[in-house]
Amino acid sequence: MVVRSYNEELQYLEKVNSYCWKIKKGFQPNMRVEGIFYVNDYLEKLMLEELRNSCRPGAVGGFLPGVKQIANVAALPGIVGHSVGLPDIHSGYGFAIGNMAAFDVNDPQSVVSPGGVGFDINCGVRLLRTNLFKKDVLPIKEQLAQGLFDHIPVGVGSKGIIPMTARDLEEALEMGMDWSLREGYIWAEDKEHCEEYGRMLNADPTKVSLRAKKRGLPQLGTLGAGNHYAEIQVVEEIYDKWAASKMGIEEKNQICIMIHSGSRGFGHQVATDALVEMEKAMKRDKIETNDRQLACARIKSEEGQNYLKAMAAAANFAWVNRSSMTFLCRQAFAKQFRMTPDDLDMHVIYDVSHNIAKIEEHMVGNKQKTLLVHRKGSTRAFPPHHPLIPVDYQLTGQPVLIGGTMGTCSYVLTGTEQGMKETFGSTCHGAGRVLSRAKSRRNLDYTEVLKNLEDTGISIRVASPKLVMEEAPESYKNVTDVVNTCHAAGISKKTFKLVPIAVIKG
Amino acid sequence: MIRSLSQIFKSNLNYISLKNHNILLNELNLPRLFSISSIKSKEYTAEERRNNIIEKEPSKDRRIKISVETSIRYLQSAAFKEAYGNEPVWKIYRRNFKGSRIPRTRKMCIRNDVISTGSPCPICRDEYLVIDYTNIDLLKQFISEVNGKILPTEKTGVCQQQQIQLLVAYTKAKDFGLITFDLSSPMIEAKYVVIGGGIAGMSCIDGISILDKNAPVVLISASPYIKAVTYVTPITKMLTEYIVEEKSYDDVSLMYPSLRIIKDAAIRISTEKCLVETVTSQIIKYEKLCICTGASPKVISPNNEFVICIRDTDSAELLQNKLKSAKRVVVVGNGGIATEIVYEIEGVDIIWVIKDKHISATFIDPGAAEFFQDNLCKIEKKETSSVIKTIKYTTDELYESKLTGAALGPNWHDKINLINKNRNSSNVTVEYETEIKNIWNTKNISLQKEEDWSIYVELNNGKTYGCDFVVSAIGVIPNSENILVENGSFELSFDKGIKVNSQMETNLKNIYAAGDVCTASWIPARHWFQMRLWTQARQMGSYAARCMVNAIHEESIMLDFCFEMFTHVTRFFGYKVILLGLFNAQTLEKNYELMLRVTKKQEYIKLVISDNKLQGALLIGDTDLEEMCENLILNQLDISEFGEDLLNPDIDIEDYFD
Repeated sequence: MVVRSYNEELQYLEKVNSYCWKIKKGFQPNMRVEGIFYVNDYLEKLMLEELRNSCRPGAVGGFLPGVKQIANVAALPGIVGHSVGLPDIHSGYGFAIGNMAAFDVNDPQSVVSPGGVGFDINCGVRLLRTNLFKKDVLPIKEQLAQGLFDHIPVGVGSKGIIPMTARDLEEALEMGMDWSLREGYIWAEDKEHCEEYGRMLNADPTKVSLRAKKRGLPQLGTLGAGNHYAEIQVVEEIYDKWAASKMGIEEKNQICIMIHSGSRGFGHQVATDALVEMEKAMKRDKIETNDRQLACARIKSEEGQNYLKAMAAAANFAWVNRSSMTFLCRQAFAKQFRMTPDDLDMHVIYDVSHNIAKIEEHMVGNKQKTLLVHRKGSTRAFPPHHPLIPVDYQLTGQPVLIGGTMGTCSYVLTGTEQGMKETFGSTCHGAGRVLSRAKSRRNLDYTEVLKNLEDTGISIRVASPKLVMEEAPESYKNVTDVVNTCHAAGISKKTFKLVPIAVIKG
Repeated sequence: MIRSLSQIFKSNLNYISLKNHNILLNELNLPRLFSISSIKSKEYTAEERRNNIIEKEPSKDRRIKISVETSIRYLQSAAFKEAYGNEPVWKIYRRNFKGSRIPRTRKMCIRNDVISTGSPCPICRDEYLVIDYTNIDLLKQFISEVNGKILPTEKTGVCQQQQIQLLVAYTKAKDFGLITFDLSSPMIEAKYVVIGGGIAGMSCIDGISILDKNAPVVLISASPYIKAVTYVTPITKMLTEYIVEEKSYDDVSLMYPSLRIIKDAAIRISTEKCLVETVTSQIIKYEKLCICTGASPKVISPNNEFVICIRDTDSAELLQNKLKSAKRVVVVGNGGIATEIVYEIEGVDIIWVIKDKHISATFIDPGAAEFFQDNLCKIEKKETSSVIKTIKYTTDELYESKLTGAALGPNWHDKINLINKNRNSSNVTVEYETEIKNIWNTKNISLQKEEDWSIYVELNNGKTYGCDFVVSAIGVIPNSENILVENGSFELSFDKGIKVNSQMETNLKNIYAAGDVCTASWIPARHWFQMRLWTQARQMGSYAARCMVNAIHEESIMLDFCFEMFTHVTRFFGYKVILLGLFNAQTLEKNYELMLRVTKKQEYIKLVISDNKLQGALLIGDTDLEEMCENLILNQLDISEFGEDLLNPDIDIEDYFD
């Protein structure tokens, strides 16, 4: 790999307009298409700072900056259009989180990569509306949160309220939300307001390893840890009154419930299993990538098909998971307000997936093509009149739910025609982590500790920043910046904003 | 459409036919005729009816009454043996009914001295069976082995009339002393019986209450309080923090309506009859039995009043009382409890005797011990103790038992204030790599110069300390031998734990074991090993519940995923300590390397890497890395390319693997 200075690297980047940058071919070896990324002034600074830090002498290996990761994805065989980096991009395993890429299914060279989906397959956000207002909820906020907490099994284990046997799991993996509907956990109209109607039809539980099922079984119907949460939110600001009213949001201070969860351990295992398989397939098919983490297999190969089927099963798992929590939320609210969830108008506004690969039809150079669209840390955002979005949103465009960092604000956007053209109908996902504690300056001191460990005779490596940077690269991105960039770039449109009043953390 | 058409058609037809009829009637001008027919039958008297039956089936005749004496003789005769064998008379009787619900038996089988039904009940069908209080052999066949009462008609099929006769005869026989019965120990029957109210036992009961809601469960517990996991906080997918509360029997009974608690200690198990006997000779019949009797602390010097073993709440309180007047304490042991004691005791000089090279060797490595070293000199003690969870319980109704109560569980010191208020300074002296050689209660000649202490401890390294008392926390021995087993014995492992297989079954049928008392003898997953901790007690308890419920439904289940990787979270010296996988490179011998990040007084992160993959992690302080480490251990992802950058504090790694 060529080592270039920061200024040399900048030659390959071109600012298209105030919100969009282009990565030219040659930035990384073998780039088949150009990369683009969306940033505003502040986010731009962060992106370039990250690149600059990686260009310092001595900074070899380790983690690639987001821009490099976008470019590496652009070098994958079969990619069409652009490798797109969304405003909330930050480094991840293989693909950066917030990177989307589409591959032509009919090109025999095209690949599918688990790194382009992520480990937490179909991690996503669901938004429920209510007809309650802030003033109804504020006095009993605590009880309501506690009620939700009691209802939603946040933790590990067989204690999930929804009892699941091994056979149930098998069916749930195959049927997705149809399973939840059959078991009576959700309403029929919930399915309508969900990507793919809450069921990936190509799911095949037999392609999922036993270990994955074992890992998933105790976690179904649980919220999960990490950045997964359920929030009671209030509408703070409405930008597009008409679109909001189509979603059942009439006024400020209306109460919504946001559920953010994924396929948990199940997805992790599916992804890991696939990575191992694909490494073998890559050797066999002689596929070369710029980054070892970008393990992939041809879409048409057995490994590729197996992964797509297992991934679909994991996606179904995540939908069942969110549906189970929807059920529990409705129960908790019904109990608290002594009204049926129906009377509380607790409909699902929409359910979006962040980490998923799907087969979609798109226009590429005035030609309709069938593409395998990888969205990692990005949300599908289809424009008005798209056939795959529900009837209720045909005129507004698909609702896009942007969960902020837990405890900060969240947004609801809609898809636009421009986004369809530029980003294959994708936009940011928003759910980032809380500002990491690691950022605080620390005083690393090993001498005494190492002295004590010497006797063991084991090789010890210590973590230390190799050189003291004047400014640590900040990967924390504010959700408002991210959403404003998407809005300004025109890839999606702001509809309303929500702020949390109670959080239940996994 | 078709239906509505046909309806119209039909109504038209009616109309037509009616019209025709009217016309007909009008034309003929005739009155309407009614045909009166009746079936004439001969009326029999009761006697005639009886004779009719007897004529057809002479065996239904019951006019001749058999005397009780004949009946008693009949029951011992060869004819009776031939007819019924050794079974009770109702055993081979089958009732005819449809459906799964058993209907009430008929009122009576014999009316007017003749059997009025096709299938008379087991007593009525045999005229030689006469119910009487002297006919003990017959009565005994209708007495339940379990509770000593007359069996219900649903089981025996006896008609209501005879059942009353049975009850009368039974009561009378008891009055005459012809039937012996046990007043003190009516047998208790339950589907599931759990012995031991510790964390494992309560998790087991909790599991059963979810999986098999209304099944009767019996808990046999000798300790006055029951440990209940009340507040579960998940830290990662597999790691969970709990708050364990001690609850009184009443509280627990409220939580689980189908649970019956017996305050007693089990002493004997009969595997053949599925019975458990307690000290006060109560007998409990089980379908599935789970032994969660925990473990007892190893004792350095038994029966020495100045040596305290910390294991349960009682002994922790004893410690508290003794601390009030103490000046110097010797703490022996290097596990979690010893570490917590050293941290929690204030205002007393502590001499900490450990056999390893560094403190808390069971959990942490020498490096982490160094990290904690500063905290041993308690100059700046945390101020958080203002919020101490108040747990309500009273100690006056202590149940008289020599058996120790359940293990302490996490956060035990929250409710016990281990602070000596008289003195402020405290000093910890650690004696490394040594063990106790001798303990005396009187002064040795060599110690003349020293002050007077109530107990003296001589160590292997030649030093001798006098102190107010010795706190011993040197590990536990499973309580596997407290219960006698008739015809058979538990297979024990080398550490005296009861061996259990991957379904938590012991070698004896229908008996399971969970928690500290058992030793997992399945082939462990690569990143799991057993340690007698409350985390595992809880996991094993809930898993055993699932195994038992599934065994009743004749299904076998896969080993729970929590046994894939070792996880534990605890608190040492006020820091959160998370242990994942092979955190001390257990079983890895020398083929591993370590990756470290240490920030003084803030965090200590150690990753154990072997084969370019993460095998274990020790995380001290608020690191936020637990979920990532858990996933990396489970996924066995190659992390060689990240190198030391994995722990680079300037890189956000938490959601890199999302």
